[in-house]
Parts: sequence; C-alpha cells; structure tokens
Amino acid sequence: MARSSTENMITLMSSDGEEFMVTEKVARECTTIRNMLEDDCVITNIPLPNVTSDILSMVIEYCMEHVAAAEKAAAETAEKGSSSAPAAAKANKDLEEWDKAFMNVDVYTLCDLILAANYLNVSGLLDLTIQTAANLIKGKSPEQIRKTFHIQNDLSLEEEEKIRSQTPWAFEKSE
Amino acid sequence: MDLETSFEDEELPKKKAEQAYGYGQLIKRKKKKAAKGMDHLSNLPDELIITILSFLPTHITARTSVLCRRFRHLWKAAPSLQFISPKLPSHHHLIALVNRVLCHRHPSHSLFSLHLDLKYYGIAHIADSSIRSLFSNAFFLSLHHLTIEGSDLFFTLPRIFSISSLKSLSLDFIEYRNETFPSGFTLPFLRRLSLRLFYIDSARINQLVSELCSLEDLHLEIHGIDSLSLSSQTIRNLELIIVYNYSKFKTLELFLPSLESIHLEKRGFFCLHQSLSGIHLEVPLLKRAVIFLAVNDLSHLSIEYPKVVGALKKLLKCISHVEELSLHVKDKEHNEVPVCLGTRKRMPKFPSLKRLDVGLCFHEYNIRAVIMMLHNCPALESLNLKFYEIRKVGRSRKGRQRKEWEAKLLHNANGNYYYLYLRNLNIQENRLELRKFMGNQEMSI
Repeated sequence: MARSSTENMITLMSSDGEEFMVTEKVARECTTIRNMLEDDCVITNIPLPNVTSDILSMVIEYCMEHVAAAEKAAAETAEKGSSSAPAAAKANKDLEEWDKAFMNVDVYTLCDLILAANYLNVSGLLDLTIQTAANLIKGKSPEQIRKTFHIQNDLSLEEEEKIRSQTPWAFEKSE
Repeated sequence: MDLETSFEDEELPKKKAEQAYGYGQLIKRKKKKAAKGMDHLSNLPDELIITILSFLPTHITARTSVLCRRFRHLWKAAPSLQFISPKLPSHHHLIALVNRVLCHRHPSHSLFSLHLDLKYYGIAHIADSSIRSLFSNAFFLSLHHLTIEGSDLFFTLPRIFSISSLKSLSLDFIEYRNETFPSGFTLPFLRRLSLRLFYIDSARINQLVSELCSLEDLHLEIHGIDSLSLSSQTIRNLELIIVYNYSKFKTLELFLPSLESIHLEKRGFFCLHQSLSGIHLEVPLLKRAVIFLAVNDLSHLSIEYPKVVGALKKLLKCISHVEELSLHVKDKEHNEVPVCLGTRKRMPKFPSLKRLDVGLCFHEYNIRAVIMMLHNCPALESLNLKFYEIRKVGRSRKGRQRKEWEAKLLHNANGNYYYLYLRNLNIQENRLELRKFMGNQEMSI
C-alpha cells in the first residue's frame, strides 16, 4: 500500500493508554471516528475509553486489510480501464479467506470484538463477528452453547423443564 | 429489558501516552490471558445478543431460552423470525406456534422480517382462522418483510395484502381458485414483490402490479398461462420466469418506463417457433438484460430451425439499446439447439452494448449467430463466450464437421474453445484481433 507522507495520521488511544498511529483513511473505516473527524477536522488524537489495546490493534488490522483491498481493486480498475470479473472475484475470495482466518479467535476475544465493532461502528467487522458468533450457536445443544460461551446456568431444574415443555419443537433434534 | 451497555469494568486507568509504545507503528498484538470463568456473552448488551440471534432460524434460537435466566425471552425479541425447519406434526401446529410467539411479543419490539417455510408439510391451501390472526398480529407488529414458502395462500391473500407496513413480500405458491382475486389494496411501502403464480390470468396480475405505487423489484414466476401484459411506472428490476405446462405462451407485453434491468427466463417443454408470436416491450431505460432459455426437448425441431428464433430475434430487437446483454440457450439433455438469427443485415444492431455474455450449444449456426452479433456491436468492451458441450454424435460425417468448426474457432489461453473471455475490446489492438477472428469466420463458414 503506497502511502504518501502528507497523508493525515490519526492517533487512537486505547483504554489502557496505548497509542496507535493510523492513516486517516484507515481510521475513517470506523463510522464513529469518521463522524468525530467530520465534526472537528483538526482533531488528531482520539481517546477510545471503551476499547483495550489488544482489541483495538485487531480492529485496526481489520480496517487496514480492508482499506488495502479496496485500494488495490481501485488501482487495478484505473490501470486497466475496467476491472475484469475473474480478478475481482479472486480478490473477493482472498479477502473472505482473510476474514475467515481473522475470526480464528477464542470466544472472549470474539465478544470483545463485537463490542468494539459496535462501539466504533465498523459495519463490516460487526457483521463478520456477529455471523461468527451465530455460527457458534448453530447446531449445538443448550449444554454445548453454555460450554462454548461459559454461561452460568441460574435456572433450577424444574424451571428448565418448564421452559423446555413450552417449546418442545426446539429441542427435538440436534442437527 | 435492560438495554444499557455496561462498560465500567473495561475503563481501566489510562496510562500516560509517553510511557506507552512508540508512535508511527502498529504495536504487535500481544496475547492477553482472558479472564477464565467469566461469562463474556453476558457482557454483551441485550441488543447485540438479539442481533446475533436474528442471524439464526427460530428453531435454533428458541434453544437459547434455557441457557440462563437472562436468555429466557431474548429469542422472542429478535427482529427477524425464521421458522424454517421445526418438525411439527402439521402446518396447523406451526402456524399456531408462530401465532403464540407473535402474540407474546412486546409491541415495542417491532417485527422486521418473518420467514415461514411450510414446504415440509406439502402444498396445502391454508385458510383457517389461525393464519388470519397470524397476519393481523403481523399487521400490529408492523412487519416489513414477509416470506412464506410451500403453501397455497390464495384465500388469505386479502389478509396479506392488508399488512400495509410491508416493504417486501415473497409468496411462493398461489394457485387460482374459483374466486375473485384480491384487488383494491395499496401497499404504499412495498418495494420488492416475489410471486409464484399458477393459472392466474394476465389481467389480474397486471391489476395487482399497477396498484402497487412503490414497487421497484418484481420477481414473477408464472405457470400455465398463455400471455402476460404488465405495466407499471415504478418497476426498475424485473425477473420473469415463464414455465410451460404444455400450454403455449403467446404474447408478452411490457410497458415499464422505469425498467433498468430485466431477467427473462423460459423453462419447460415448448416449441420456440410456436410460442411468443407477439412481443411488445416498451422499456426505454433498460440497461441490463439477461435472457435464459432452458429447453427440455427440441430434438424434433431440427427440421424447422430457421423459425426457431423468430421470437428471440423480435425480443432482441426490442432491447437493442441495452448496455449489458446475457443470452443463454441451453438444452437440458445436451441436444443440439441451433439458433439461427438470419442474415447480418436483418439482425438488430446494438449501438450501446458494452458487455456481451453468450452461452449456446456448440453448433455451426450458433457460431455464425455469435459472429453476426459481434459485427453489430460497435461499442463492445468485453465478450464472454461459452459453448455448451452437446451429446457426441455417432455419425462420422457430423463428427468431422464439428472438428472443422473447432479448428476455425478462437482458442483461449488454455487452448480451450468452449470458453473464451475477451476484455478491454475498447483498446484498438484487441479489437483488431477480434475483427480478424470475426472476418475469418464469416468467410469460411
């Protein structure tokens, strides 16, 4: 990714005080930050009290990858006059593969990423993480879901039986 | 319900920036030990959990009701409910179940989409009171998107069409019964409509479509009728699938001044030359067209091929101002389907066609037809050419003929002449290459 030295750099500060310097273009992937920048265009240092450094670095990694992919596609289109369908499809597939590898995280990180993506309003990352969480629920029995997400069961046996009897169709088969 | 986000535990005391890592580079991610035993899904606000649940079909989300106290009712608040495969004894049970879920829903949780799949129970027509109350509930929850599969809903159509909040509607089986088809309903927000209709005549379909004042996307699959006439000021995308059940489709009339994209597909047993005697399209803004003819049995047509595509030619003439055209004629049984578009002079010209995508069976006439089209497309930028393989012919004469056509064809980089993709034809030298190919072909065939 060719970056000119004149490009605006933005400093993002995580809740634990770590600073991340990113280009404005990458920062603009977060709608929350884009809105801040549009309200106040001289701002260069943005504290993000809701995001820890390790999660923030992952969000930035995601944004950088997606900005780079978009720039590459735009450059190709400009160079060749028109983008070829097979090349665009391959680039899309590569990005999907990257997303898939990126989502290879434990549930704690996943939940933190959902929160961060929601707070920073990165729609692509939010969709990706939510879909990943939904896939973790799919095809599991309640016990398995509890185990996956470390959910403490605070229902008594009788209560659980009662709820199960209200929606028996949901528990009939485990896919 | 608690919809507030609790972030307090994450607001750790902030370190001084200078003490942290250097500027200008991204700090490598360090693995932090997650606090084991802590329930992280419960850290998420209800809102986000509900969003996660809305990505799943309802028979899965309902399982989460026993996870813990907090999850007890969350699944019912999901903005989209998909009842796609709960195995219940009959569709009555399923409808009763949906009714219960909708009745217990808090009115503040408006229902965004509802997807009901009744295919499992076989096609049955449903007209009892429970489905009526289901649609009234949907009305009160201001439902936006409704999809019902696998059930004949002819008798409940008036109910469905009175859900005035609908933005999209998809019904996959409506068969005409000897009763009046609903009319006089206006769904002011409806933008997408998808219907599969059986034996419902053209006038009724047109009346329905013309009453919908915001309709932009229309997807119609029609069975067993012989003509269709549509007029609408607002439709921009049309997908029309005509399925033949031994009846012949005769006339197609479209008066769609806003139409930008059309997908026209014909399936089933039919004879092209007998069908579609009248085509009249008024689609001045059309940019993209996809024409797909899936043919089941054309073997008896080989004697009459010049007539075969009279209809197709007429159709092409009506849409000759498009920028993108995709034309596919395919036989399911891999029989030959010769497409003869006549002489070059009588072929329609495509002055603004930029992208052409053609898929035909491998036949001498089809190669000629493609070349003819290329001659009539001065603005072409890219060409995607595909020849479907046909069944091997036993007679050696035909086999030899095919070898001859193959030798004349342009090969792609892999030495394959069945598939070819040429782009950037707007660049002079590429166009010369194509000219060479076209010129050769015309002389030698």
